[in-house]
Amino acid sequence: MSEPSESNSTHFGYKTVDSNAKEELVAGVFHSVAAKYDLMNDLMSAGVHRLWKRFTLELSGVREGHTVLDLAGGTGDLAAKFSGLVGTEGTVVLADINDSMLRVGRDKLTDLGLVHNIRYTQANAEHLPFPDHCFDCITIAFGLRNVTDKDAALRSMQRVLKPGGRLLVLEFSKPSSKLLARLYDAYSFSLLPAMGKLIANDSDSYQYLAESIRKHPDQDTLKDMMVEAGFARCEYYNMTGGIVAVHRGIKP
Amino acid sequence: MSHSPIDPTLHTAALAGLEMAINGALRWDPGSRQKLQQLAGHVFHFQCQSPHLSLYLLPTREQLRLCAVFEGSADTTLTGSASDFAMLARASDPANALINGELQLQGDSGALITLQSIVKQLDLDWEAPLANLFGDVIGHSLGRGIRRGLSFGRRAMTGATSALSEFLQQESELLASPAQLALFYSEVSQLSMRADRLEARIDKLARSKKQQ
Repeated sequence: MSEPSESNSTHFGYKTVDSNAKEELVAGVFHSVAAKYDLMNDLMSAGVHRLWKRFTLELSGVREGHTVLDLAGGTGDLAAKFSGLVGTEGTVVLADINDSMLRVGRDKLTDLGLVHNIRYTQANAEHLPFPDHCFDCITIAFGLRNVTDKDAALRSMQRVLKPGGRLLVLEFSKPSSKLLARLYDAYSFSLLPAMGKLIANDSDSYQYLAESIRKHPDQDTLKDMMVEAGFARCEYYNMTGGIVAVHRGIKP
Repeated sequence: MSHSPIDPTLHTAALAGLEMAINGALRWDPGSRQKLQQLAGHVFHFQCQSPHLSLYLLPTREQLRLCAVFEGSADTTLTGSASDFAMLARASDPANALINGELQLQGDSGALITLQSIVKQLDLDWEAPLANLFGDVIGHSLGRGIRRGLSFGRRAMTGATSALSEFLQQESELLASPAQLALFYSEVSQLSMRADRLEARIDKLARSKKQQ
């Protein structure tokens, strides 16, 4: 549904690449930005990404004793918060396909003293290495757009969720106002790569970020994809005028 | 699809700032923290109808959590307007304010009264959370702005009340001044006493006339 029609090709930003190559190309981007990922997130969003994640956390309904999978968890922002919510009886699994990001996340959480209930797994979202029905909640924040086969990833998440468990997808989306969309385009395609060049000495990765956001399915398409993957009661909340949306679906 | 008329980013930003300010104040107030421990695990839901806002307050052992969304049922739900909530927050007798006020309460009122006593004595420092959110320079400027705004608001409110009272009493003469009212009450009281004396004298005269 989200991929180009040719079965062996997919998009990498605005480029069309071989499906097998995308994973490696995305990995290259994240190896490059891992060290300065948190700093760049703060600068690019003026700190607002913390509010988006906080709202996602509220929608998660996670309580003490729950088992949570923070997929594409990167530097562990959400995992750190979940660790406090699930308490000593619960478990948080921080998973990412990229070992550089996972290492930065693990070091950061260990430095924060969060070691008792967090586990780390290098995993591909399309083929999650977990048994069926084992998580109360799965979050994937700013990660789904980098996945090659999003439908397969959603099906895989549905499989490992417990019945009644919920999936939360926090991702860039389509602004609801045309004026905001124009301002946002100007910001993403001129200011963002320039900031990437200045701070992380890597404008290409941030050019990819802007392009990949435009290629990501909009709110309603993603909702339909979640329904297709077997989720019930799917809904989304627009944030910051639709620049970001959080989708929620329940495994029946 | 958003369930609140306000963008969740703004709602969440306001709650995050307020939560940080309250927890900052609680950090230096062990007495309130101890009281808060009694409320750990309790869920309060405040529904403000004008303006339309909803927030959940979740005390833990160490701090308060404020959320726009809570998946579960609340132990205490309070519904009313912003002014009703402000009145309850300031009330010296919260039980009386709840009984006689306009707020609708569902659930445990005892926990609410404990919470009100904790919140009432908190002295919020807005500068610290703002500095944490936006950095020292912007945080200090915003904090100073808020302090000035609040101080201006208080002065403006006092000034407006005084000017309105002066206009109604002196300029338009629609209302009497407190001094005029006191004089009026005193004169009414004297008139009443004189009328009583006159009545007593008339009674006395009437009795003496009957005896003749």
